[in-house]
Amino acid sequence: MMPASHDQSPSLAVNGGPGRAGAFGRWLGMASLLAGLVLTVPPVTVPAPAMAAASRVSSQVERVARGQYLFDAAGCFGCHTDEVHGGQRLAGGRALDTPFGTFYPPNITPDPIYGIGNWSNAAFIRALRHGVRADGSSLFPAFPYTSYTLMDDGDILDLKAYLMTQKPVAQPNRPHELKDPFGWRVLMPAWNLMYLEVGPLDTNPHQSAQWNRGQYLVRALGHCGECHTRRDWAGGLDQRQMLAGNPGGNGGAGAPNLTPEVETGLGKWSEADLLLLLEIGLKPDGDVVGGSMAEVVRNTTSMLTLADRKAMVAYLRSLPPMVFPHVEPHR
Amino acid sequence: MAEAGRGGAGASSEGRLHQGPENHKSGSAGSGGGREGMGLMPASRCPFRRLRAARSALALRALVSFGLVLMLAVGLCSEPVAAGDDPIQAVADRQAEMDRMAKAMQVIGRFLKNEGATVAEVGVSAGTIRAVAVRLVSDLFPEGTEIGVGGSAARPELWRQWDVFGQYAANLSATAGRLAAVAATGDAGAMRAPMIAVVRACGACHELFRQKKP
Repeated sequence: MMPASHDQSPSLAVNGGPGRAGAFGRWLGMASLLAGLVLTVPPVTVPAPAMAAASRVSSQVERVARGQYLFDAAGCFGCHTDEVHGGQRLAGGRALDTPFGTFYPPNITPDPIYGIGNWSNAAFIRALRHGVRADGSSLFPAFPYTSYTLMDDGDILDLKAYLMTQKPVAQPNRPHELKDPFGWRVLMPAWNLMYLEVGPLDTNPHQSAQWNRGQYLVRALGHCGECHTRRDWAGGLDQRQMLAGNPGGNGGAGAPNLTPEVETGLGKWSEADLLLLLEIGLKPDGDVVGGSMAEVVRNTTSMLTLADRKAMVAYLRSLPPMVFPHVEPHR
Repeated sequence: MAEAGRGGAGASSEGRLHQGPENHKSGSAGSGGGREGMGLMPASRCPFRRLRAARSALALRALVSFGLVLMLAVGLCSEPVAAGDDPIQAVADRQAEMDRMAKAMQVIGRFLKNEGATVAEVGVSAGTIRAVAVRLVSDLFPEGTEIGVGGSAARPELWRQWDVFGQYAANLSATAGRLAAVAATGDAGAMRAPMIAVVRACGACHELFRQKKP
């Protein structure tokens, strides 16, 4: 539905001259208005317009509230805000150092010129699902669309609804500083063919609702695998070792193994241990998570409901135990 | 890490600098373990006092300890301690103290997970954390003990942003003091928020100044 409406308007402008398009457009507008009236007016009771408007407002409020929760669960704030340098909320610019160069996440405020204020719903879905910007050029997977692709359309649009309520900031995006050939956007469609498994995530009917929710939180929203899974030379995630840890993650310090393997993973951690780490960042040995995970706990996992944290833990504990990869990290 | 050095370093450190504020608060000049226990005295000395009296005493204690911490922070934030003769030993001593703090944090973790830690144990742990927190600025981070010296994980930014570090240390000291005060009332239900505040105080500083580790 969304892609269709998105594709229609440009084709009108291209096909006809200005006069013809105008007349045709007006005719189409009238026709769709009439059709809309016929289709939307309920057959029996006619609600007062005020009531209809009120319910639209309340459903919009609910949508924004859901979007805010998804915003936290997906950890958007951390990368898109240059917190350390006092950057404005969601206006981008926070440097992400990777083996491929430095990425500067863009402005995702509703500013129409520098942000995403002019993006259609379809364009926003396409960005998260396929890693393509509104202008049709490719995004780099430093933006974890390889995980967000697993989100469902409803959640993506709720997230957008929330973003549109944020303060617009007219701040231009800073260009990435990448090593060749990783900075060549034209190569990205080929990369996507190799590595992108387009979502949304299917529900596993053999598993409980809690497990499925946990999988969605860990793999789609939380994008835990982006740090905790080893990457190959081209930056693609090694799917066979999903969540088994990444010696090159966490800025080269290493991101630990999240599978329940006893020696190198979370095999010795109880459910309560994992829940406490996700809630406040305290580890069973009395240490507190630092580095990137401190931020994840603060911005994301501590903001979730207890039921959602339990779902994440249930999913992680169900993973096949795998040994932390010994391979030297890619430099 | 510096497991072996803990006993010696812990014991020798007790007699060093800046015990003043601690002694003031508890009205005792005993040795390490005793001093932490004494910190809980005022409430436990009068177990039959009415709740309101305990509350106002608590508020006063919190105010006084906050003020002392503030004075300490202002007085000591200005300059880091100069480098000593043996920076590698200084790192080992520091890590022994950090381990002591981690052991105390484990007790807090066990309480939060319902794994059998008591309110009194948490109170003692809060005292330990506060005692170490006070030393963070006064003597545990002398200049010349950053990453590369012994097993140090302290980023050089810590000394470049000494005032910020001082604020984090003062915050840890204050949150641990509040936790000790709540534990002294014996109210298990009120412990959660101050415990989480202590954990967050540790984490905030580590996030900025400790080398990332897996």
